[in-house]
Amino acid sequence: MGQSIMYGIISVIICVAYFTLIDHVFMDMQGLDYWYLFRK
Amino acid sequence: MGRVTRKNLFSIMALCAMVGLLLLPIVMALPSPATGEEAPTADGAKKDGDKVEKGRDVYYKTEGIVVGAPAPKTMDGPRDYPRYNFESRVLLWFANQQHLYYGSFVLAVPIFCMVIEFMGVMTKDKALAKRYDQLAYDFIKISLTAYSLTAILGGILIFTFLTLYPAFFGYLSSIFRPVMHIYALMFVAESGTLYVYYYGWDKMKEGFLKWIHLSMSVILNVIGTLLMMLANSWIGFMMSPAGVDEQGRFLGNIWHVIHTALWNPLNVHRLLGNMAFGGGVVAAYAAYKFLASKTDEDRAHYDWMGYIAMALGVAFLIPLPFAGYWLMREVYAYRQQMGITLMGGLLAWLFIIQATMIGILFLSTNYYLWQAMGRMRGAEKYQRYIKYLVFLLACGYLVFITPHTMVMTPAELKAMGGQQHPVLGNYGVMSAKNGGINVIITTTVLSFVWYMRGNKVSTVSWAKFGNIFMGVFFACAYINIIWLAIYGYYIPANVRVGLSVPQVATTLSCLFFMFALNSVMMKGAKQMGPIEWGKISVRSQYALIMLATAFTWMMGLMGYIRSSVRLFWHVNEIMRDNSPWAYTHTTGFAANMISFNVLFFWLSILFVFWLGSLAAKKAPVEAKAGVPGSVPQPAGSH
Amino acid sequence: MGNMITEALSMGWMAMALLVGILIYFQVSITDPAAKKRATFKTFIGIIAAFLLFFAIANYKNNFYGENRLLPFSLVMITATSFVMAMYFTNLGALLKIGGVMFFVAAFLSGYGNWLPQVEGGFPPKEEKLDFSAMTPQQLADEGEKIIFGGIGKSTVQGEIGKGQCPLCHGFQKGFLSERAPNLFGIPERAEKERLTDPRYHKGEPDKRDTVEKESCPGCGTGTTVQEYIAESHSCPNCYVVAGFGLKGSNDRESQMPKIHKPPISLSLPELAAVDTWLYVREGKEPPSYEEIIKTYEKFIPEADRPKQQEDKPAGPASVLLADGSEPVDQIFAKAQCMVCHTIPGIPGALGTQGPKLEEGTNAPNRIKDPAYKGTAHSTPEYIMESVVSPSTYVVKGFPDNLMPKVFGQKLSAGALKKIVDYLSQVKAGAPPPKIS
Repeated sequence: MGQSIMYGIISVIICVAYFTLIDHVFMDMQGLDYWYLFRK
Repeated sequence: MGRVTRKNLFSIMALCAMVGLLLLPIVMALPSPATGEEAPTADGAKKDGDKVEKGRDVYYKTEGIVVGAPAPKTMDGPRDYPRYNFESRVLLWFANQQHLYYGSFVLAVPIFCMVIEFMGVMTKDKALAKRYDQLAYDFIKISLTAYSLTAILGGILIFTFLTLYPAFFGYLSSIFRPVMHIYALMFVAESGTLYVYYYGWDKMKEGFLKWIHLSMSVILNVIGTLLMMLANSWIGFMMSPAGVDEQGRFLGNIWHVIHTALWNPLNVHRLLGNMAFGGGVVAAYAAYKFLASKTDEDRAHYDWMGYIAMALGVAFLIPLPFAGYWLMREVYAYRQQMGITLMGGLLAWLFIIQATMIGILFLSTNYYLWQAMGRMRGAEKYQRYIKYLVFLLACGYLVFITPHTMVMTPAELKAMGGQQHPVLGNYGVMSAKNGGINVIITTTVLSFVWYMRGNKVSTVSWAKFGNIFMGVFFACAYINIIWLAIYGYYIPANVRVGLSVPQVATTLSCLFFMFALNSVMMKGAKQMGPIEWGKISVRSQYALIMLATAFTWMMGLMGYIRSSVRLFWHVNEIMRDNSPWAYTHTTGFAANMISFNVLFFWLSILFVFWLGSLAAKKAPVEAKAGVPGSVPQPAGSH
Repeated sequence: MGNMITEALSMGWMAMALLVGILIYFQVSITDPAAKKRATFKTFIGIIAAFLLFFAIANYKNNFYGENRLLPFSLVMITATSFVMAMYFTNLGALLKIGGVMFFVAAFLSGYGNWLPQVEGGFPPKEEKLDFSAMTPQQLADEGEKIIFGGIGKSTVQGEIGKGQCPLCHGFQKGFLSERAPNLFGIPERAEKERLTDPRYHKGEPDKRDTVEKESCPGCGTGTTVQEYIAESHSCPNCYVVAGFGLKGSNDRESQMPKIHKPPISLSLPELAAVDTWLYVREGKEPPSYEEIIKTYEKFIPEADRPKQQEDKPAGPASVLLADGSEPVDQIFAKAQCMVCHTIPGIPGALGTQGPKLEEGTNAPNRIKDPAYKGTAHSTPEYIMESVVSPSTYVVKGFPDNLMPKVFGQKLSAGALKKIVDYLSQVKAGAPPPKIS
């Protein structure tokens, strides 16, 4: 059980990091700012 | 031994002959642009001092010497538009569409053959290799009858063109004259290659000869694709002319005429579309055979065939929207007005139908996959989750088909209090729609992944982590797609448009990473039981037929849209349509016409299948290679 | 319905007679009662199916052009036929059912296509290499009417607007609303009797004029004839402003009318000649010849400023739009002539005062809260859209009703409207204007 939670947490970290990266990089490539709303 | 070498020799000669046929048109073409350029210069020299008339290319903006005659100014009358008691345009529409359906089918099937034959050669499993080989052979057999029909329909098409639109056809053929003979030669080359490929199948079964046979299929496809690209150059020229001046006079550079603004996007879009269409037709064929077969063995074979055809078709269906996006972008870049007519103006309702159809295609695909899990033992564990997938698909679909703005009457405008509906209008924006379609595609990917691991349990040491990771990855992908869709509402338009790229990237990440990860995990996996080919529900076969019919319909629809966006131009901005049929039909009329074309095509091709089955009955059936279903791991499963 | 049945019968009587013949033949030839019953039943189904099929074909044939919305019913009928046949002819069952599914899909999609609103692209505008110089005065006047109002005979309808966009401000008939600019009814006569003799016109002495622009071009002089007066008014609206119609606050020194030969309207000289000819002809006056009119314009518009007659490029049905939404927002404001009446922060030249200042980011929320507000908008964009599309829903205090044309809902594309709404909703009082996108 504990192992599953451990795996889950690792997966979430990897996935969130990956998708954030995707969002950021692909917006950056187009010369746009993904964080627009938060910087405002 | 001597016999074999002689066979080798012959087959190499045949291959060389094919390559020669392939190159022949290019060799023939070489002098023709040269003469095209020389002829006027010689003329000019003869006139001595008479100035050579120059024209400016409407698209490339280069100067060139006028070679051809200007586009004829047509008049409504028997000379330019002869009439035969029926709307000429509808007749031509019919002839064109039928030729196109058969043509796409005939071009797509050899590509399938090539892929499947290659898979057969590469597979180490002997029995499976034989089955693949047999399948490829079956495919090409289907396409052979269709091939001659295509040629006949092409003849009918040219005849229709010549009788109903003589002035227009005369102009087009005068422009394309330098490549006409290439087209004809390509066609001969294609026929020759196809027949050698087909009849040499049995003789070139083993070893080195098989490789030669395989390379023949490559050549066959290269010729076929070139042929299609040449045919596309005509419609490309009609939509976005180049290589002529403002009056439509040919300026001597045939490459400009062929390589118009929309040529390449059209080529890519058509190639992918043909493949998806070919997959649909073959899947429908398999479904027909499945439903008509009397023995379990036949059912198993055709179930398998239907699955492979469907999988190949869907594999090309997934990139199709992206190719369509490219084409659309090029249309906007070429003439903004054209893009607006398509997406927001006269033809916008047709795009609503298209959105509906994309939804139908993906829904049927998913439905088929869920049904297909029924033939695997162990897939029950996924069955209870399917309802959630249905929910996701339905939500994505509903958002996806909500229109943004439409052409409205003032009364409607007033009733709604503006161009957008106060509530639903919020879903009609691109931000939400992109979210919708990406949710649909991601769900389809998820269905595929479940299907692939249906009867297997991973045995790799990190299986548990892998499973959790895949689950989390999909969940995060959904969250990311939906988050980006919502986020789009809060940021200005110029930033918002960029969000579609990470959205698509998310979907594609799911597709590639999850497929890859899944196959790694399933390597050497424990099987809960074999895939019981043939034990699929009858309904699933109707889903295949629905997929095929819907795809055919969509092809007709998109072709109609592409063609009618020229409005009242034969050749956009060069040659006007002055016939009584220069207006655009209503949505309903177009829908009826497309239905008629689709049904005619299917009835005729069912007839072709039926003819094929008659022939097959007469010939003693070759012992089926390997008993289908007994193979431990048909490659079709991943 | 009745005639369709007759037609179906007349078309398919041979096939049905054959089936009936077979039916009778079975009655006679088959002795086994069970087999006889089965055969009779099957033939009977066959007859019904054949009838349905012919009925469907008759429907298709009859309604192919007229009531094409009825065509999908044919497909539904054939679908039903296929499935019924499949039930009783089991050896062809698979084929029939497949056919049935296909017909069903087609019927659904065609029905869907027919259920959607039907938009038909009208005939293209007639291709005419318009040669204005070779026309009779009447033909020329008709072209003029088209340029002003968008069609022949539309001059009597309030709210019709053509390429020239004149009716956005000018009235052309007695009693038509014309508060922003003089009503042009009777202009040829008035020009001669009132305008040219008006002391403020300073006929022949442009230097004495008290306007922001004294002459159309250096040395152009003033008008001396009726036609020259009209030509000057088109090419240099500022040169003489009819009392009371100047830009608010300019004391009639400056006009709100754009120069007609300049963008965004850019009428060519021949087009202007057509417009002027209409002004004479419709009042039964003898117009000056085409060449004479052109000459008057050549006096006031220097060679370099003359717009080339547009390469006769009929842009399809969309050309009736003032703006199609592909332009940047400032051009949309210019093309729709919003700037003539409204002050729009951030839009160069938009300094009109006939209508309220468009700071909708600030104004709209207040207006919606106004107890006098009877509209349906709940948000700023909705309010702006409502005000553009249906201006009389709420009229800002201190401004007259019915001054703003009610045609923008039809004359602007959805895209253009959206850009306008996007822009205006970002304009706030006291804040720097938004960027033009």
